[in-house]
Amino acid sequence: MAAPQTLAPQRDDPSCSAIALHDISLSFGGLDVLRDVSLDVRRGEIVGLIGPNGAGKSSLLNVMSGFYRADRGGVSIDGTRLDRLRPQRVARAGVVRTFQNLGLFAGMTVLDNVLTGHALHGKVGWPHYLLRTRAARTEDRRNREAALDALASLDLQDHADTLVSALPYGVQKRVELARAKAMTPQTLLLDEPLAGMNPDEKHEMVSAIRSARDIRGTTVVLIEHDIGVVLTLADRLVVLDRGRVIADGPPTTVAADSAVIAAYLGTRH
Amino acid sequence: MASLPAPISVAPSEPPRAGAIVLPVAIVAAAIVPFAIGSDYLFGAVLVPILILSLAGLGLNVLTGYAGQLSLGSAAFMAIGAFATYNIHLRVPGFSLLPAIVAGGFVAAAFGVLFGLPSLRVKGFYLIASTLAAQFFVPWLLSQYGWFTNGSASGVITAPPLTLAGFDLDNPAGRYAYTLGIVAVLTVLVRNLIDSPTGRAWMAVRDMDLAAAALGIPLGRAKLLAFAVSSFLLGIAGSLWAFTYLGTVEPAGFDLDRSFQILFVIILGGLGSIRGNFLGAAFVVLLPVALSVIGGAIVGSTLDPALLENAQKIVFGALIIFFLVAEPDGLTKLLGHALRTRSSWIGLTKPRQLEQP
Repeated sequence: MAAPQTLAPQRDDPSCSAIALHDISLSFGGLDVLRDVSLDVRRGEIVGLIGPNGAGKSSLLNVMSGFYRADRGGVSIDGTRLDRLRPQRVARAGVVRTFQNLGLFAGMTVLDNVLTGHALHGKVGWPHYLLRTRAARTEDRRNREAALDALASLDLQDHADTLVSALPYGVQKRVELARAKAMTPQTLLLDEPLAGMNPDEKHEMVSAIRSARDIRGTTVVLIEHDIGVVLTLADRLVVLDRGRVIADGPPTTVAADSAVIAAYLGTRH
Repeated sequence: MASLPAPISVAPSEPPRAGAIVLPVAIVAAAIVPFAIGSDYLFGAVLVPILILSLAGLGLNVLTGYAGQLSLGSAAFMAIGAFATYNIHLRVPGFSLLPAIVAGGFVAAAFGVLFGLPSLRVKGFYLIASTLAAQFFVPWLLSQYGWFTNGSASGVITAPPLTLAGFDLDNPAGRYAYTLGIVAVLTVLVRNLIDSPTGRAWMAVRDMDLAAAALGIPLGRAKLLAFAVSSFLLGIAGSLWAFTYLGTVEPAGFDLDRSFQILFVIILGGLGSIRGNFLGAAFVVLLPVALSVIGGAIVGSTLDPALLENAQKIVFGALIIFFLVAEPDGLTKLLGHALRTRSSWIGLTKPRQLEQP
């Protein structure tokens, strides 16, 4: 595993790039959603993606995760440029996303949701599970241990057998992060992970995100509207406005940028 | 994975799952109790059709209840299974009935994949149209060409006598034992598959296909596998319907009404439940019996069969509406509530803290 690596901005070294966008343009029916967006997220970095509503933040995440196909430009994962990006392929390449309005499976228990994520790395085929062979039983036991670890890391072990739809929203958000962590991602793309949470829940979520980076060296790209949280959590802020990157740099510098203040934070007098 | 030094008090072993205990007990009970009571009517007219409709329900439940793909073509796949089994048994040397039934299941699975191909592009009501096409096409094809029925003028084929490894099973108890053996084995196998990454992938596709894709689940493969497994089970159910229940089979016996009957089994029993198929099938088979007994008691000894049939349809319609509104999770949920309440009375289990709203 890569050590936590938040310094050394060697932009030209592809081995340091976790996920990169090259001149991405995207439009829907004549409406330009993204215009020539380039972004290089380095390994172990926590990048905060901010901008006003409709700036293209979620679209950018959808391009990175293979849900939208850009009209122009390309995406590299781990320094390798991928042409036909599909969600499944992105997930297998170690880039795991969460959804703004929750991507949980409502009819399944918390544990089954997390197991479904962990199954990405399964190597034993379904005929083995059909017959409950030794290989299937061994893999199943390991899956459950890993899933329970992921649940415990977000203090969710008591909810393991609860149906997801019976849980409060804030807990469901944590379940989604636990599921993403159970996929042992290289890179996490989080679409408003703190939305709808109370301060305590936010605090817990922030430390879970930070620990993913500090312990496993996971790269994180997150969209978040709570500027206070983003400023403390992110190593780097990228500001989008009307489909363009208008600022990119350390949080304190970006937050002081006059263009950013005008576009997003509001002009102060 | 070196995690936080969190207090991990979770038992690493897998938690006891209800189905792990209930299923073997149910199978053993089904293998003993009826033989103690044993009447030909019970075996031939009640238990055998319940088992077969349970298996068909299991097949549809895999597709609709677990993988979330709607289908009105269940009976078509039963017909394919029955006629494939008949022709393999008749024409391929060396195939005794049991291997022919299994082979018939595989033929049905192949057609299931074929008619499941539209699911790669469409879902919901549009997919119903595709499965409905199978429902109308297959019985038509089977009655159109005499080859399928071995030239039988009426289109009705007669089942060969039921034997297994030299034992004569051609009596109601024997048919029941034969059917029970097949249904029990398949139920255990399906349970294994549901409680595996495959089953969870199906449910993920059902609940939110975009999120499933984000977890790396190949949607198309998951759907087609569900179609294959579902049609395999339906095909076997069709063969059993022909060879251990009716003793004869004709394409018209696998019409749209049969597909609806199987849909009722899973709606009444419970979508996404294994136990529910058996409850739903028992209900569907026993309701007409109960109605005729009750009707006979009220009206007198002889009840007009046409009236009875209409009464059945009315009661069914009302029940379906009741279940869709009041208990969408079906009989299995009602039974679960009843069992939980009872065992908490006698202190066996604690009531779950957080239940489904």
